[in-house]
Formats: sequence, structure tokens, C-alpha cells
Amino acid sequence: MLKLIVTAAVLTALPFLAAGHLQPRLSEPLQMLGGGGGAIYLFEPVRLVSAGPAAPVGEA
Amino acid sequence: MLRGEGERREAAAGRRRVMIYGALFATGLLAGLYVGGSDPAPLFDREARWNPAVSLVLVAFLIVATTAGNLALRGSMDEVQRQARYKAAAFAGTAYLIAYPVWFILWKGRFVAEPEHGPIFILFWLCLAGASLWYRFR
Repeated sequence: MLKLIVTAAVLTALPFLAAGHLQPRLSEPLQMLGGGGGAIYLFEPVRLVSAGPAAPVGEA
Repeated sequence: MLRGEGERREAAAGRRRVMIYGALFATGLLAGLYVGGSDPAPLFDREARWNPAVSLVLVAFLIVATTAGNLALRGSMDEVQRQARYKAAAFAGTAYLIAYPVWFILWKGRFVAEPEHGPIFILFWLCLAGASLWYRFR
């Protein structure tokens, strides 16, 4: 029970801490990392094309 | 043309910021290229699982790079930039608060497929990045 209360308190406090104090400083590092990390999707078109059309439901 | 001390300092700080942003972008890019290029499972396949070790390394990568970027950029933000970041985050949050319930309600009405976290996250990121650029350069 105590663990649940502590977890709930931390999870409730985190957004306020992030929004009020850390958000402006973390915003751009996270955007840059996320922007670069988006490269993961570059491979999807190739993968989807090479996989071919999906089998219709019931035929797989 | 000779510039004043303040302008030179501002230009140097700007170059430093660009280098930090570039390093963070390159870090994300390398991680994205590595996972995207090495994992044969399609990204949009819900059942596909990544190697647990790779997942843990990526989480550590994200936390360390974000913390390092945060520390490197400390002290380089004025009040106008701080307000711009708050406004950009508020814009992205509002877009999320509209997009998710609409998708959820349409899903419940059987008009569309169940909401997926991936596209919602990408929407949030695009809104945050777009609003950040808008408030910075308008």
C-alpha cells in the first residue's frame, strides 16, 4: 500500500516538476534526439515493399 | 566590420548551441539508423519485439544524452526563449488533447481503428518542433 502511495505521489509530482522547472531546458535536447531518431522510419518503406502485400484475412 | 564584445559573445554562444543541437541530432540519428537498419521486424508490427539488451541501451542512451544536452545548454536561455518553449509545449499538449479524444471517440463509434501511440507521439513531436520554430523565428 505504501509503495502504491509513494508511486502515485511521484508520478503526480513528475509532470509538475517537468512542466515548471525542467521543460524549457529539456525541450530542445529531446526534440533533437527525437528528430534524429525518426531515421528509424526510413527503413520501413523498403521493408514493407520487400514484404509484399499482406495476405487477406482467413488465408494466412 | 568590428563588432562589440556582446555581439561576439552572443555569436559564440549561438555557435555552441548549434554544435550541441547537432551532436544531439546525430546521436538520435545514429540510434535510429542502427535500430531501423539492423532489426528485421517491421516497426508497425505490434507483436514484433526488439532485443531487450538493445531496448535497455537505447533507454540509457536517451537519458544520458538528454541529461548531457540539458547540462550543456544550461545558462544559455533567456526569459523570451523560456516563454517560447512553454508556449510550444502548450501548443503540442493542446493538439494532443484534441487529437486523442477525437480518435478515441471515432474508434468507439467503429469509424476508425483503435488509437495507436506511435502516430500520436509523432503528431506531438511535430507540433512541438513546429511550434518551437514558429515562436523562435516569427
